[in-house]
Amino acid sequence: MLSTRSSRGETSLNKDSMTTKSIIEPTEWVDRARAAREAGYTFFDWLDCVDELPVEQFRVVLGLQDATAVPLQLECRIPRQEPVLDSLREVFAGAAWAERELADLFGIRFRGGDPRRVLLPDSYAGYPLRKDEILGARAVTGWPGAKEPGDEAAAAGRRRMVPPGVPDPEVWGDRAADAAPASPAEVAASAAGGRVRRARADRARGERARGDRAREDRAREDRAREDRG
Amino acid sequence: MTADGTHGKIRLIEENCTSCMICARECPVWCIQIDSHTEVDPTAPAQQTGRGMRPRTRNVLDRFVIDWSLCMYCGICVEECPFDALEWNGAHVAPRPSLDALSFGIDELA
Ligand code: SF4
Ligand code: SF4
Repeated sequence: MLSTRSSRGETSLNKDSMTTKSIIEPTEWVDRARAAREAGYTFFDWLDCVDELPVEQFRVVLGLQDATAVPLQLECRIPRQEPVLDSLREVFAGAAWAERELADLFGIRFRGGDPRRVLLPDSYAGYPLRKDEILGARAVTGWPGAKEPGDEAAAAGRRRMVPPGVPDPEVWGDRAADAAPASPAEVAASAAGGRVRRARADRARGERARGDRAREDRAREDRAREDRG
Repeated sequence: MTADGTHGKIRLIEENCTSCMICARECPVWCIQIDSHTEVDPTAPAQQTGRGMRPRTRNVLDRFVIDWSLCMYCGICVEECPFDALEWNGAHVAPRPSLDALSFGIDELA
């Protein structure tokens, strides 16, 4: 049986599922897959990806099985800013299909892979399974869950419900023109949904109100000066 | 799962529903709409609150709509309802002449 010890020695055997997991370096991705195949893991089961925000990396996971269906998982981490990995198609031809899906959905580039899209139209901009992907249509649709039971929004306290997938307008959408664009982690965190402090909305309203008050104060001072003059 | 094993229509058992909003919030496609209001419950004794003695109130369901043109029959609402107010109810709804007619209210969901 294949030794699953990685170069970093991070090998674990999950006793319940009997899945052997190895975390390997991106540089050994293809070589380790080939070694696994030669050691009997000839069945390409699946290939998938996890967006690990707020950690700026993607985890790519390859699932293989041997003839007795004992599973092996090879995992590697690649940076979010430069999500490139060598293609496995010369080891498992069928992996190219899964790689095309990950390219469409997560924007992973597979060096030496099949560059054609498989799920999304060419016109689609963005990567729908990345955690900082904005569900644009949701931002402009009223969410039925925003109401409180009994519909007494005023009595709902300082925390209000927001839907998943719609980021805080201060982070995305109404962001101040002079502010640096929000980081992917910031966008993802603000779009997680659930109960959030009203402060977010109140702050925006408060700033507008303060601006109005400041303008009124200035106008009053101007009038007072004119009266004196 | 239902006795007949379908993920089809969903029934609202109105008297069980507390207007808690959980199903509307959990529905992935936002196809449940709920209106409710609060009423004083004349049969219940007053209760001590942070602001002194207050009459007890309860939520009254005014409107409950499932839009079958959006529903994907995932069953999350049925699973999540803490009051067993939603249950599977046989085959999918039949086609209708317009999208609006696929929005079922309390009576049609009974
Ligand atoms: S079955 Fe799913 S999609 Fe349909 S109303 Fe329930 S939660 Fe929404
Ligand atoms: S989760 Fe159940 S009790 Fe709550 S609003 Fe929906 S149907 Fe009514």
